[in-house]
Amino acid sequence: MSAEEHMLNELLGAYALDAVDDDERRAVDEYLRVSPAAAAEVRQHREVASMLAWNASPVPAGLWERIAGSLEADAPQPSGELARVLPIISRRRRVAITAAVWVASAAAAAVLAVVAVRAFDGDTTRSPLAVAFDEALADRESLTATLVSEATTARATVVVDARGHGYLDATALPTLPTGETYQLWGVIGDKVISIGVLGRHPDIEPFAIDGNLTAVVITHELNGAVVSDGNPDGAYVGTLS
Amino acid sequence: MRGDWSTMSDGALAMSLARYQQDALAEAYRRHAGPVFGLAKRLLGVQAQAEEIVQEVFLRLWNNPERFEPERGSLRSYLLAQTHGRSIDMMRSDASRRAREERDAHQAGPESYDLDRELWDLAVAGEVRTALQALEPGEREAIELAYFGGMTYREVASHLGEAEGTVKSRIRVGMKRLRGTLTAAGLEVGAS
Repeated sequence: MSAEEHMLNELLGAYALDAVDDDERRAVDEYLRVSPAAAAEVRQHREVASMLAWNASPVPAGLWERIAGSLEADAPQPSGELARVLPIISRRRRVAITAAVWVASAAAAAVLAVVAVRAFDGDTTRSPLAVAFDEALADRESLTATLVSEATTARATVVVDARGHGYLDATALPTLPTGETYQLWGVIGDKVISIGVLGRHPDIEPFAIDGNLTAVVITHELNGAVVSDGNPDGAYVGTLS
Repeated sequence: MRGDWSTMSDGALAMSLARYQQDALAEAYRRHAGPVFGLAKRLLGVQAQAEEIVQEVFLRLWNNPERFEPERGSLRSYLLAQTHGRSIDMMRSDASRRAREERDAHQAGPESYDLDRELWDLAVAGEVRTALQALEPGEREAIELAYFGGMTYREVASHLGEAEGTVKSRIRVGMKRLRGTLTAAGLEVGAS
């Protein structure tokens, strides 16, 4: 463990209690993105803190009515089966969708799967996420997939380590037009789930997966909504092995 | 419908929120508004500000339900963390800091926080109290000042006349020790 990691680990308790300054908070935020162990520790601290704060007080009358009034004024109306776009930062919330077409597509794409393992080059100029990606890729216990599309020669790579921490390298995908976004999907059993929305020009994106992820798909969608089935046109598909 | 909502898990509530089902938010409010308001009121000391925080926290849940990740912890923990963070932001703003200082001038200050009194009527109060008492006094004091006093660990260190590293370590070790004691007592303390 480096001196910097040690310093950041020592901050985790104070961080969980909102007791650090802004610079430290940003440093820990970045650290948590690449250290699942540190992120888990912060979650545990916050659960403990919440128990200290479980002392309920009578809620003032009329407060709910004010909140409900705000909802009517501010909330957009749902449209058909559209759900919300999930930002990649919220990737761990997965919305189960019914998409037999994707299960079939992912299965059919098995022949396209490529195991891509290469050694971590130790380049210290790379971002922490890029380093984490390479480390996961170099781990023999990790599963990897190369996502390819019939519409382009660009490829993306997904690696999921033995603990379910996943990384997507989508830096090679072409930038989408304004108003469109890439979306990452995963196949677990007979379900297809939305892992997250990647934006127009994704980079290396972390995600976490519970369950046996067998295939991954990247679609491009219109901003503002996630449809119950992803757009199959030009999708990038790969199976994990 | 009330019966259906009242038996729904927090995760299912969050899914319903994503589909703009207002009854789901009403149920989340019914379950958790009391502790959310209690924490905000305790931190800010001003009812109007506490109400503002409650509104903001539940509206954020409505607008961004995907930020709550059921597999990572309870909805109450998530809402209380949001409440604490927003309350601390408000406390640290200049205007609110002045108000807090005026309030503190008429009260005994952060060190007067009495967890025993505040937690007495909780179902888990006894175990939480025991766990707190099992901490080293320096650990307990540092955690209380940071969490309920809204201080940074540097401010805690200055307040107590201790080294910053010592306070930082006491908070972390104390939180781990609290978790261990509560878990050993049979309380479920969130996701691992």
